[in-house]
Amino acid sequence: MRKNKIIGILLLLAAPACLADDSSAPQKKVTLQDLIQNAAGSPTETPAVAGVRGLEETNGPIDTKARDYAVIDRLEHLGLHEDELKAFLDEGKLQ
Amino acid sequence: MIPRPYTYLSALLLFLTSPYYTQAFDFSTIDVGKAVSGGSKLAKAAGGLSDDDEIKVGREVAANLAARYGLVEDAARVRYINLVGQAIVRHSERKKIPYHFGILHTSEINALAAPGGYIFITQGLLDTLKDESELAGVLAHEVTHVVHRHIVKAIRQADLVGAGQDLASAAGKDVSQYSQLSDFSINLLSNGLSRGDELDADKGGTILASKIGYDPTGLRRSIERLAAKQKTDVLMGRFNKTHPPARDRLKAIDQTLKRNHLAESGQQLAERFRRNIPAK
Repeated sequence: MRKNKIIGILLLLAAPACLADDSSAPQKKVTLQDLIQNAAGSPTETPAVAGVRGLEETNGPIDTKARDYAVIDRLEHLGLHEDELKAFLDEGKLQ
Repeated sequence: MIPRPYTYLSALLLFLTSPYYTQAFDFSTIDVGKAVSGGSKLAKAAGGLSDDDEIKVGREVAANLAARYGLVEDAARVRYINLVGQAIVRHSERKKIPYHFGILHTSEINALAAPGGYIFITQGLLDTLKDESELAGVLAHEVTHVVHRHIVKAIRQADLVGAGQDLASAAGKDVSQYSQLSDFSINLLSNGLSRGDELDADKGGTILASKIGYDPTGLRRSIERLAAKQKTDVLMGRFNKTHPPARDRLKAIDQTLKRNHLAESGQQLAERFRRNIPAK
């Protein structure tokens, strides 16, 4: 019985001390985003791109800020009717 | 005298409630709100952008292409391109979004698919085609990029839309992030999608064109013709940059034709093509 008490006391003293060593290491919060990024691969990974083969680039740098919304508006409002499409398909013997 | 099981139990209880234990498994480090919203974002990340978000980004890309090249606004010509395009969309696996087909006013040889169903062919490429089945093959290739969400996939791979991020959604609340997506897509179209995605679009486009009743070799013939120009024509610079070599594309298409038992049959419609797209 005395032996059991000693074991119990030893457990009480030893276990937290062991964990104290672990807690001294820097802890990183693992967020849901970390888990998803790990599953999806490195966040800096970029898609593979087909390289230039034999010819030089024809255009210069791209102006990514240029916009012409008006012409896209007109394209969006072209308005094809289902009947017109059906007639087009029939004429070409298409499905 | 305390019975032995209780001794162990009390020791265990004391251990579990000790400060070291609670520090090692600190539940205070978990942001519950973030975890809950992260769950919905996880679903979003799994599926990529919503259709609405994709269309909004695509519209920005389309407006950029229109500003840089200009669009051909010959009503009959644009209508014809859209009829061929819409015929293709009818047989595609992604019909819920609207598709728009435009002609870029440039002699450069290329075709592009912006996210969200904005598809463009250059006047330069149009001038090299000989019949409607070739045009259908090219447009079906571009429609396949949209159907398989190749740009959205690239956006996800670049971690522009991660689970922990709030996408500038429908209302475009976060303008900088929204702009980041558009810039990325514009640069991607200029630099090219992955080789795998291009070959995937060749395969998908070939099958798609055949479903409508076009000669399934239309895309193949157009690539073969471009291959002859490829080494000498400066107008093909960007096309070469953004597409795999012709031999690889032709090989992939030949495999697709063979596996799907697609022969050189179906409509080519050279006369109708020439009526709508007069030779240069």
